[in-house]
Amino acid sequence: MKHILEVKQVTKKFVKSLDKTAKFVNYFGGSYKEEVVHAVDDVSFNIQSGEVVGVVGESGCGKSTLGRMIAGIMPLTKGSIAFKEKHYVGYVNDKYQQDHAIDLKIQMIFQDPFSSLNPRKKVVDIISEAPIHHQIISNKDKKSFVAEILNKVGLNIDAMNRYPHQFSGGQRQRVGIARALAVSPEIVVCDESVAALDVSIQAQIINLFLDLRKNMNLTYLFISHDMGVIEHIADRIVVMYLGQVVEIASTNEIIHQTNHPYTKALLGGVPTLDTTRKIYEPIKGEIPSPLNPPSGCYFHPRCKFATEKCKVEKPLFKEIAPNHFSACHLND
Amino acid sequence: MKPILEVENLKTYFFTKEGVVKAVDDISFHINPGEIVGLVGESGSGKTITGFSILGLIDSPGKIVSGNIKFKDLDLQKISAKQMQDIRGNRIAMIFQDPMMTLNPVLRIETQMIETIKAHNKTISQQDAYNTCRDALGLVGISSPDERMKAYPHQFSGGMRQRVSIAIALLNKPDLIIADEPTTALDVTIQGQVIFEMQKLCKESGTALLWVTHDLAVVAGITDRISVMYAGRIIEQGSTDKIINQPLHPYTQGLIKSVPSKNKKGEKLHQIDGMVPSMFSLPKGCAFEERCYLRSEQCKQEEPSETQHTDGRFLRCLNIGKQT
Repeated sequence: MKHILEVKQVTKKFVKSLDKTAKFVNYFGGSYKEEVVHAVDDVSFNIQSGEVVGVVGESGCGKSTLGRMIAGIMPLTKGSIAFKEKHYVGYVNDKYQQDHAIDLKIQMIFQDPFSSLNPRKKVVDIISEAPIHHQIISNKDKKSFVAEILNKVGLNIDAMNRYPHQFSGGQRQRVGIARALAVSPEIVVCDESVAALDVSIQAQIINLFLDLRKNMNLTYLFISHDMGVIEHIADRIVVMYLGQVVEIASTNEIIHQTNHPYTKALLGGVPTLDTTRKIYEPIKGEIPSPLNPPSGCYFHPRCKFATEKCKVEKPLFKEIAPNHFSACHLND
Repeated sequence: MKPILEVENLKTYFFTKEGVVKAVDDISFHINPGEIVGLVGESGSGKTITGFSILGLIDSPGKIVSGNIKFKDLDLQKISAKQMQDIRGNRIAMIFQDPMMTLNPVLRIETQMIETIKAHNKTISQQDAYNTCRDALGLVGISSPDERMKAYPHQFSGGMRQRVSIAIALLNKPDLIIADEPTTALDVTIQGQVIFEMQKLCKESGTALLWVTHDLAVVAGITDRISVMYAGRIIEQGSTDKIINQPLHPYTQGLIKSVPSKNKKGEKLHQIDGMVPSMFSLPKGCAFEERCYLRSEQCKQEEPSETQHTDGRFLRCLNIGKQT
């Protein structure tokens, strides 16, 4: 099968440049250094057509930054993202290289259904804005066009004349989904798209995602911190820690043949509907500051199995079983 | 055993311009000493207002319309504001969802913690208060507590801040802690740590805990009993084992079935259609009627009252009563 999207050694650096005083001191031989955060550090993976790839990790691990770069709304520092092997997404080294043919092919659905919709616009205008701008539809067709899309996402047609504040969270998320689908994308990046919803509404939206995937042949990059949701919806899972990918495998392998200690910890921490008294065995410590990540393996200060080698040498990301990649010294 | 907290027929209404919101409508439950009770519901179901009502934190336009809240032998409705102050933060403590909002950003952790002790114990020396606070920080798993006492809240991560607020709640060794979504804002791994600490601390100190959350999975593993709220009413309450493994109320059943891990991967999740009715215009009969698969004509007309099921749990449903 051909890759629909190839993410190759993508890196995103955020640099806090020096202020005037620091520059002045440096001029006279001071040694202030710029603070650099590697939000995403050398990440490579690919997505097959029609696949659902889940990205999991704690907050601050760079999963949202990765999603934004793929959706083309944030420039890359290094690396490339190729769509169907020939078109490139976003910027490379601040040089705009995006191919306009794919502008609309990758769309994004955000976490917060409250702040991602313009409160001053009616739903009909929110949904039809992009298609009209890109001349997919003409202004006079917009009502019938929006009606069709609202129907697809399970909203009533009279919803189009209302404003976002007149909807509940779940309905608003449906409007956000309708907006993304209005330009008939092939890949949809969902950044924590169900995290803000109540359990019963969350199930409705996940079902909607599954239906749309079938009916419109969509490919999803599903970003979430919730292992339960990812486990249900994803075919393959990418586990991130401090900007790096630590494990990639099919969902089944990740759940049943977990390799990386961090993935194990993530899975172990998920509360389940099990009434036997669970004794939580949490991993120690917190995610380290990305400003000065630990030496060697980034996970070693929190890892039960850490050895001397982990403290100095960075583990290689390699294939440990067919299509199962992991970065851990324990595999050597 | 005598319950430490008894809530009877509590009604908290909000009198707004748009109409009366019955945020909490006729709920009753109790908590025994050392017990962990879960209060579960979706947003807007009244679970937080229940917690606030117990601590007397309801502000205008809200009002406790009727009902009794009994803490040990005290009727919390009848005591003076001064007496309530002595109880709040001392005998009953609360942990809020967002630790950034509970801690004062311009005061050192040390100042805020010692303040909590001194508010209820005027005679304690500064040094003793300091030592108690430092030990409490150590207890919730904060390393090098002496240094951390001097820090400001912004120097802590989210998980650490939540630990600090847990430590503050524990300072006066309360008999009851009300925890309102204490782990919702935290990462999975940190959530595991916080649940672990809370479990341990409650067991060691014999503190009772009311865990308010929207996440059934979190309370499934740690609570003794669970109350499920919907549109301001408790619709099912009983032992955790019965509620999770044999739910009877259609809403509880739906909630449990819609959790992703209970479903087969990749298949459609069980979903409860529709949404929570507006609190301004609750239906005349059962609030869940529109979304319920058991509904009958009677449900539209008659509001179900709380009845005890044969296995001891309490239910608000007209149809389940009929079956048994």
